[in-house]
Amino acid sequence: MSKFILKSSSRIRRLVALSQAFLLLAGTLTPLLLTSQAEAAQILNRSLTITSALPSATSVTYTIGDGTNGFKFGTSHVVKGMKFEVCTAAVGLPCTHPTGFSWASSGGYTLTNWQDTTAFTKDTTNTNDCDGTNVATLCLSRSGASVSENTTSNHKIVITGVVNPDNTNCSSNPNCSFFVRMTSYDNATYTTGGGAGSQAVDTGTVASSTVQALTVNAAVAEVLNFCIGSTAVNDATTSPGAGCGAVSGTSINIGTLDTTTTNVSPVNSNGGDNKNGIAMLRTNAASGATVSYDAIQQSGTNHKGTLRISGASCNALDTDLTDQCIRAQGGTQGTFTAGQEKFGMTTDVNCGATTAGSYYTCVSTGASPSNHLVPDSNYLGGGTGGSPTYGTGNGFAWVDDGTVTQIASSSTVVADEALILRFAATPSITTPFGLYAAQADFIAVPTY
Amino acid sequence: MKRVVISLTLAIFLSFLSFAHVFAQYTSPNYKSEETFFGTGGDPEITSPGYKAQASAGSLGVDPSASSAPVAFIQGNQNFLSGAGTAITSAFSSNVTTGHLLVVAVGSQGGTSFTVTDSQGNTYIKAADANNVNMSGGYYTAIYYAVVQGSGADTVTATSGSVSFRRLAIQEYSGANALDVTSAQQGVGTTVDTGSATTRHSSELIFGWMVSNSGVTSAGSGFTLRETAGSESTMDKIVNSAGSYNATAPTGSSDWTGLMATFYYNSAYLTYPGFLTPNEPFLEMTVNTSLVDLGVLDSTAAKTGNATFTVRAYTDSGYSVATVSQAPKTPGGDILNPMTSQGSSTPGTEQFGINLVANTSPATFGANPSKQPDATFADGKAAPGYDSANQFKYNAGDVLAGTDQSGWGQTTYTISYIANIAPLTKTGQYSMVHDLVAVPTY
Repeated sequence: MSKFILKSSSRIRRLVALSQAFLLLAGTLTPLLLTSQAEAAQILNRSLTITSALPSATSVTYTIGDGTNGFKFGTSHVVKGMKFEVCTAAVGLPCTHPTGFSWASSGGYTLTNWQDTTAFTKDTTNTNDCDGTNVATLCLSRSGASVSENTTSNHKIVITGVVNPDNTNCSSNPNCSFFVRMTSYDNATYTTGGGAGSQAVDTGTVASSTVQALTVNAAVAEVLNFCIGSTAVNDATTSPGAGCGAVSGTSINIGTLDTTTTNVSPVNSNGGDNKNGIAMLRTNAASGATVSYDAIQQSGTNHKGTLRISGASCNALDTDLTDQCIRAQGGTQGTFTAGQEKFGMTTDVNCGATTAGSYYTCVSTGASPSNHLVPDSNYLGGGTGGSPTYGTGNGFAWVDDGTVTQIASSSTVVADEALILRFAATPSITTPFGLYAAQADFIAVPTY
Repeated sequence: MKRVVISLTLAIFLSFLSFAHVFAQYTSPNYKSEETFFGTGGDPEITSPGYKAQASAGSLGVDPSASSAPVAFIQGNQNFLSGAGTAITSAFSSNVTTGHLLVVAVGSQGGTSFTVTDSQGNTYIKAADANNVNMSGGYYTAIYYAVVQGSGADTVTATSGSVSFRRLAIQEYSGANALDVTSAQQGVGTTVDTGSATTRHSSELIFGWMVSNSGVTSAGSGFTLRETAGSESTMDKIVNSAGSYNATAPTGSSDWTGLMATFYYNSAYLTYPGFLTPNEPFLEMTVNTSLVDLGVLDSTAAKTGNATFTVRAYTDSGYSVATVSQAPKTPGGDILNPMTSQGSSTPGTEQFGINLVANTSPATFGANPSKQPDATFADGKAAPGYDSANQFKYNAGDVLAGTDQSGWGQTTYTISYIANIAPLTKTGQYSMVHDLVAVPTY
């Protein structure tokens, strides 16, 4: 690029002649017009980093001078004032301010690598083009500064609480460049054109840009795999199979009941099929899921959801040991005594089918359980919530009136954790002979 | 005493110049003078006055296949629109010819820039512009040019932000294909003058775009009037020797602006579409994509997407572009697991990552940084960690792209996004407003 300067000797003479008529007026104006900006040195190695480039973003932090290098003053001087004016162009007058931009809520003014550590304060006195409201022109002063800044240190200043331009006066909205024109002063009143102590010293412009918002979207679909079946697994760690695809069966047989014992699944004698029930759950519900059951109401009368002979008319009282219904334990877990008619269920968590990973672990017994699916207190087979054990030592429960009863829940995702359902029954001496059965629906409800 | 007088005179001289600048800038409607005021715009650190003149040279590329031809005017047209609007068009009445020069003069009230395109897809470069704040509430004028890449019917469109009126004059010339020098000047008086610039070739087209509050309807001495759009005119002349030239035109006494661009035919070089290096701190960043929708994620296969952004800067110490956003997350705060170290896409493992290069896995997608018009004009590149094909990474705060110490030119970057989920990645709508911050160092 070539510079263009027009020179004409006759023009200069004519201008000098005209200037004499303006002697007094020009003399008055000279201190204002002979700005030292033309003599100011450049601020070097300058940059502006902002923490958000979105138009109208608030609480944006502006860092002048990067974290590694910082900016260098061109002139060694005591910096008693600095002015930051934001414009839509790097040079030129007038400075058009980008609309929406505001220094007004700015603060911090943290200095790094400055020789004089006196803090800057925001100037609202409206002195010398500082607009007082500090919207587009930020004036910082420190009249107490006394140590010169050198030309070798990497200076940085961090300004918080800035509002980005809204780009309404930018033709390329929303991708708009804007410029911060910086000036350092050796005085705290931003006086220019005077001698030492009354001049602007160094200047420089930095640039940044607001840009169009770029949105990245993705969706993760809801997942719920829940299944019920029978299983030969009877512990907390043996895998019952890889997910619901390996779960099958619709019934279990706890064999012929005997008053001398309590039959607890898996029963491998007296006609039992050596199976437990199993309920397996997989869900990515961020808020977890619940597992419940409701006893299917069979034909007959009273206690239609307990272990009973189909069609039997049972006594509404729960104390009758002669009707064709095995008394359900009820909602509160309790241990059974052989020969004292009772029916119930309990659960333990099996982690055998879960896929361990850095983000998911499943240990369901011991002092530090990490399984996500946790039996409710009335359906926890052994131990305590904080230290469960696999077993039936806590007893059994069963609600036979068809009420939906929760047996386990999770507060987050569940990866193929299984509830081993263990059923128990014992007859009394007077319990009638017959084929007793109970049915239940099991329900999983995720909350996404 | 004499010495004192001289000093005083010099002081008064300088004061007068400054005073005149201020006086003319703020009271020009009542200021009648034959003087024109000017300044230099070479030093970006000197605040230039309201009146500005500048001269600059265009960009050059290499094409040894070009041949010489005499400079000649082929055809022109014009349009002018009053009232608020953002675009103006004008069509050439005959097909434009490959290799010919198209020179477009535009003007508007209230605007600060134009984008010029045409139906043949030619690339236009701005040769000169000026914004005269004393004319009609602010009159912006510019000259653009392009070398025709494909012949045929051609309609030129100039687009700006919303402005109060628009002027458009289009011209086709043969025998010229390169910009030499330009000048721009503003003033008050009865003669529009573009200011002078010194050409460097023996045969050149001198093109002037002359606007004035009183109108310009006739050409200055030696010039041929071409198009009059509204009351503003283009004009030209052919010169046969290098030298200092300016364009002038008579007008009524008023504020005016004159722009001049000179063109020549370079038999050994073909002008490439490029950019004029500005003489001031410059940064232009554009995010070209508004939405990347990765769809419903799948634990069996990665989902991919692309977005582009463009950075044009001229700096002493380069620029960098950083990402400041968190990885996509749900309204409930579940974040798609960012790939904090570089790695490949692994379906079934929850991952979010990006790079800025062309990839073949997990799909063919993405692109390497594209330097405009080619690598001789720009040097942007992907940053370490984001510069390996088929390897992805994401950390908020990372630098994604940038230039070496002497950063310059325009580069378009393509962000390649991947997302994988595990079988139990929490359900929901994941979203990220990707905030990109450019930091140039001057």
